[in-house]
Amino acid sequence: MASDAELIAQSLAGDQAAFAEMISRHEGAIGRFLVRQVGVDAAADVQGDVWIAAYTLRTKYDQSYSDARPWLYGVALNEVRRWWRSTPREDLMADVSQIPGLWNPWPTVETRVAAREALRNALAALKPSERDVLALVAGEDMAITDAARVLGIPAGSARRLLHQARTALRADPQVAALLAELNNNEGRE
Amino acid sequence: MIVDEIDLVKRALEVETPSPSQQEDARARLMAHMAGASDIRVARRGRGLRGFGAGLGAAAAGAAVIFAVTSTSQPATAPNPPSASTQQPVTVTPAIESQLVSLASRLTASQVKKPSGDASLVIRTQKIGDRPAVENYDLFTDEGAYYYGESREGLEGAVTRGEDLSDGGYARKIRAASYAADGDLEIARTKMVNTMKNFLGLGLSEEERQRIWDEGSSELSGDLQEFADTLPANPPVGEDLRHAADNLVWINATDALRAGVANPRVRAGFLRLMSTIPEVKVEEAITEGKASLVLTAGEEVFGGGTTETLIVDAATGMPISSYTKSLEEGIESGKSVYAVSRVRLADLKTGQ
Repeated sequence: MASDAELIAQSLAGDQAAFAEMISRHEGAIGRFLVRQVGVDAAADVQGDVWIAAYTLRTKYDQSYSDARPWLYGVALNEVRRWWRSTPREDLMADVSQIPGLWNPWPTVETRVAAREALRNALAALKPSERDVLALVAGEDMAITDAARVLGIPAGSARRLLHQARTALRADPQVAALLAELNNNEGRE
Repeated sequence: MIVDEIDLVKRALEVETPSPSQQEDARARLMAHMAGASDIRVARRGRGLRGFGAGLGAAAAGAAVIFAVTSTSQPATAPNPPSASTQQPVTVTPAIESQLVSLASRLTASQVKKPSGDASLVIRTQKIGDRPAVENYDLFTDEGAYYYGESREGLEGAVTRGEDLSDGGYARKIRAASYAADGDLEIARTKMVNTMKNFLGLGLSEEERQRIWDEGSSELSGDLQEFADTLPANPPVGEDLRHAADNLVWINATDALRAGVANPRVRAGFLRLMSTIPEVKVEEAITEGKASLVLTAGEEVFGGGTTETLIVDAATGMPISSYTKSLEEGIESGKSVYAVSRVRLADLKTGQ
């Protein structure tokens, strides 16, 4: 099976089907990433933008990387930022809180409401660069080196940002309380 | 297991994968972009493109199913607006939602500059059975006139002599397709069905339908007498009626697409009408290097053993090629490819 890099090379030689095959391998992952970032309603539109941007930018793809997924995440992140810039500020956090299935782990409505508010506040307090690393590592199960590649920063910087984000979350009293409650519940199960 | 802040965020970020239709839409946008990035006009003309199976037996098969006289130049007996009192089970919502409707929406929303010229020249290279391929020259003016020649010189002669063969039929089909671009689909289907004389009485009361059916039966004679003898006493209803209407929608809408190919509203209306036919299968493909949509109508639409396939550009809705296959004796399979260009009618008059 041809690698992503090989398919991109073929597309540069005029084979559009090769590019379509390449993106078909990453539709699910990039689609979920976009749902997390912009909400389910906007995700389909933004995903189309991502594929078009990737097609346009494929001439710049570093073909020494056989797997294009981190690169596609980077393209997607740029499109997400573009989407953020064109969306009213007050709508942004609402998308985070309205993600389907967001609080399923919690047993009661009251707790879910509190938890949603707590994590929302804590995430909002992070620096954007910290949120970006956290979203990739936690949301996309990405290694820190791949997250650094997506964000175009040194791996050491990505590690530092992740550490800062984790520290800030743990230090948030409401998040700390949530974690304590969750661990108590899981310990009883 | 201890839950930490990463787990917390991970759980918070759990989402479902976007639906297949959302992903199809996103992919279709890429396909459209890739197609648009190429030199569509030059490539399409140079290669010579499609045909809609005209003259390959599709109309004959259609006549057997719908009891329509395809040679007539008269509009349908039935009026356009459907009556609320009728029992017609016409599909009013798109049965094929994603590709056709999304492309239609993009075409309708697009601010495409009016193409140059006042007519579309469609050079149809048609190959039927084992016979050599032949070229046909169809000229459709924006006003709905239609001129035909077997060569460019022949076409120029027809234009010079003013031999408009349309009798208003293409203009009606273009209007119906244009309405379908964003109009009510049930009304659009009725309009498109009734651009050609038929005896279905689509949109009329039961009594009126029966009267038209009876009159139609009595009109059949000569070669069609044998066919008339096989007709049921009453006009079709239910699924039979839907299939019959689907058949006319396909035939007339593909004519509209050919005649109004330069108008994005006509192309959008064609796609929306196709989306109302559940039996039309739609597949994405790459055709001659272009992202394309392959529309296939089989037995359910044509009856007998006929299958017609129409391939359109996934970005523009422009026709690329078509195939007609038939298992019926006496009806040969064939392929047509079209080259579409814009011209000025005045330039085709001899000596100009």
